[in-house]
Amino acid sequence: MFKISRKRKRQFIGMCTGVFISAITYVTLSLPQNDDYLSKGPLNTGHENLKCETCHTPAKGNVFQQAQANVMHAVGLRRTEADFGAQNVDNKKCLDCHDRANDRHPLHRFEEPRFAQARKDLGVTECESCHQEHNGVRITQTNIGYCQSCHEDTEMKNDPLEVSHKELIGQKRWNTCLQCHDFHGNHIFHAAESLKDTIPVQEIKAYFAGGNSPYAEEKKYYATTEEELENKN
Amino acid sequence: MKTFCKLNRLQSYVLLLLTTVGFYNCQPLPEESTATVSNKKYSIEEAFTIVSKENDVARTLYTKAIVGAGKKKGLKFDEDWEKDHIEAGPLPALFLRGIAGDIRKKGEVPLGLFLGSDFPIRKSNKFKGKQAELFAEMRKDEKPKFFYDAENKLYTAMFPDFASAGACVSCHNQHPETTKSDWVLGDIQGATTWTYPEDSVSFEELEGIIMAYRNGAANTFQKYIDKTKTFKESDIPVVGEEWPSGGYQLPSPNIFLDSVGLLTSEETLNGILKL
Ligand code: HEC
Ligand code: HEC
Ligand code: HEC
Ligand code: HEC
Ligand code: HEC
Ligand code: HEC
Repeated sequence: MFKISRKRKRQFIGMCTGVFISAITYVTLSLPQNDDYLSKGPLNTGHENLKCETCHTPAKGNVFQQAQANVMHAVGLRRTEADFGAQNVDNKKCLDCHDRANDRHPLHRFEEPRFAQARKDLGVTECESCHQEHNGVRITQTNIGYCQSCHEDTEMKNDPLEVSHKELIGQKRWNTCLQCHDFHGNHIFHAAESLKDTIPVQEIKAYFAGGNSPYAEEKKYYATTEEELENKN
Repeated sequence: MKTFCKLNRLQSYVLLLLTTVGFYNCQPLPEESTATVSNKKYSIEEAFTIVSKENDVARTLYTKAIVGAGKKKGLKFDEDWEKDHIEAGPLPALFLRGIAGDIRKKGEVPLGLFLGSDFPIRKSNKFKGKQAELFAEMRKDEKPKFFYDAENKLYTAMFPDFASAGACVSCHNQHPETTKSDWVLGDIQGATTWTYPEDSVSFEELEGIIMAYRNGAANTFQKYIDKTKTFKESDIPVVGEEWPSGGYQLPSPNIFLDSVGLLTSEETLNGILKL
């Protein structure tokens, strides 16, 4: 049989120990009670009580298969990448619970070529771009005047405002938009017509950070809870 | 010596076990999309052409037989039809947007569908960049345009949207927010834009694309019918076999879709058979 030098033997033992420790770590960290070690940060507003697995559903196949698939993808033997460990948390997952038929900014509309600049500025086709998870807030988009990326040409023939949209936009008063409009259009309320009656920027910032909604208590659609989602599936 | 051999046998058992476990665990993970390169029968241009034909027919039928005829019988159509207090059905453009939204919501078929123009009613529907360039060409040669959108990584097509019914012209010319009020029948009023992530599709994928469109149309039509059931001020139209030309009534989504199928069947079939 083959002869093993002592150096080789030591290397082999070393490698085995390494593999063993990695395996233990992997298994321990996968245990639900150790969630916090893995967690990136506090969950966002409204998500405090969600289970990790509700968003991080396990990916298809086992670790070896996932690794193999990705190696094959890397060398060009496979068309698609495979998720490793847990599935990517994508828009579809968010919309499982936040489907709002009335969304005035349904993100799929921005996949059209002409929104290229807005995609570059804001990454506006992903919920994540404005609601990055694990930050302990409601909205992570810090520029409240981001409407600028798409509404430079907005004007109305019979504008009901004291200072018209065209003027507001001409003066680049982009922070005023969210003072009268919410973004998704899900709150039930009427937009003000005079700048005197608008929501102070301070209140909007507090809302972004996790405070109460300054637009209205009432909404057209409410989020699906974890229990409702489980019953649906 | 004896012990050494024993150890060796043990080692080989372990090795064998590890290999078996290894092989078992490393069965290749099936790809989500099953089509391999060899059975890609249709170029994406061919696929876009077939589904855009379906769209032309569905839209014209909707505009003429539902909106045009329905208005004469008292049915209303509005850009804010989805708002609670408005008792109306979707305009043709919003019927199309409903279909586009339904396809994306299901998410099974990665097909994108959009509507725009150079003289739009809605400012946010105005073409920019590459789309504006190609649309200017289309105004001259009336031909569809195909390109690969590298930034988006999507194969993209634009097809002319002709004013195919009197209602297209009159409604756009009279709209308070219109940017052009001298449209005539047969004009290119805008273009539909279609996107797909691959340059070719298999028969199954093509079928998926056509069915995603048809289901989107049926679901959007169903949404309209559901909406009519909530009417309080206006009468609720009867839904059944009959079309609005005969009275204050609507066909069921199946009847509507069957008619689309009937009108497109020959061309769609020719496209699929590459005749
Ligand atoms: C509301 C959905 C949601 C919940 C609940 C949630 N996460 Fe996340 N998590 C995300 C999103 C979104 C990301 C961004 C990365 C991605 O797309 O996978 C992320 C990223 C992570 C990452 C970084 C991994 C990476 O791929 O970048 C870790 C680790 C993580 N989450 C752990 C947890 C743990 C532990 C819990 C439970 C305490 C938890 N998450 C609960 C949505 C969620
Ligand atoms: C299991 C269902 C579920 C999933 C999945 C989920 N959410 Fe939520 N989300 C909720 C619930 C429940 C609330 C609390 C709603 C409330 O307080 O009325 C909430 C709250 C929110 C809020 C604050 C809402 C408010 O009322 O102001 C935002 C923003 C949000 N989610 C975004 C996301 C995003 C982005 C994702 C995807 C990464 C996501 N959610 C995934 C259930 C979910
Ligand atoms: C371009 C930025 C942006 C993107 C992208 C975005 N949001 Fe928001 N979202 C906001 C802002 C700003 C608000 C606060 C104004 C409001 O309430 O509409 C908000 C509020 C919310 C709320 C609370 C209000 C409500 O509608 O109930 C939820 C829930 C929410 N977003 C979910 C999502 C989900 C799910 C996605 C992805 C499909 C998403 N958002 C994508 C900016 C964004
Ligand atoms: C990525 C592009 C994009 C961004 C960013 C964006 N919008 Fe819009 N917005 C649109 C499009 C497209 C429409 C739909 C066409 C229309 O009705 O004009 C729209 C429509 C609207 C409407 C009218 C909706 C209706 O039902 O009539 C309001 C109000 C609005 N946006 C406000 C905002 C505000 C406030 C912001 C910033 C917080 C914003 N938008 C950011 C693209 C965008
Ligand atoms: C003083 C309050 C106020 C401010 C500030 C304001 N809006 Fe409006 N906006 C309204 C009202 C009122 C309407 C008409 C009724 C409605 O659609 O809610 C309206 C309508 C709109 C519409 C629909 C236009 C259409 O053709 O139907 C868009 C888009 C819009 N606003 C975008 C913006 C943007 C972008 C900004 C920031 C530059 C902005 N608004 C600032 C009150 C305001
Ligand atoms: C009853 C009125 C009405 C009829 C009939 C109608 N449209 Fe429109 N159309 C509209 C309105 C309103 C919009 C803007 C909708 C939006 O984006 O909110 C629009 C949008 C469009 C657009 C996108 C660019 C733009 O103007 O905003 C095109 C292209 C278009 N219609 C073509 C057609 C064609 C072709 C027909 C006939 C098959 C037709 N329309 C029939 C009212 C109508």
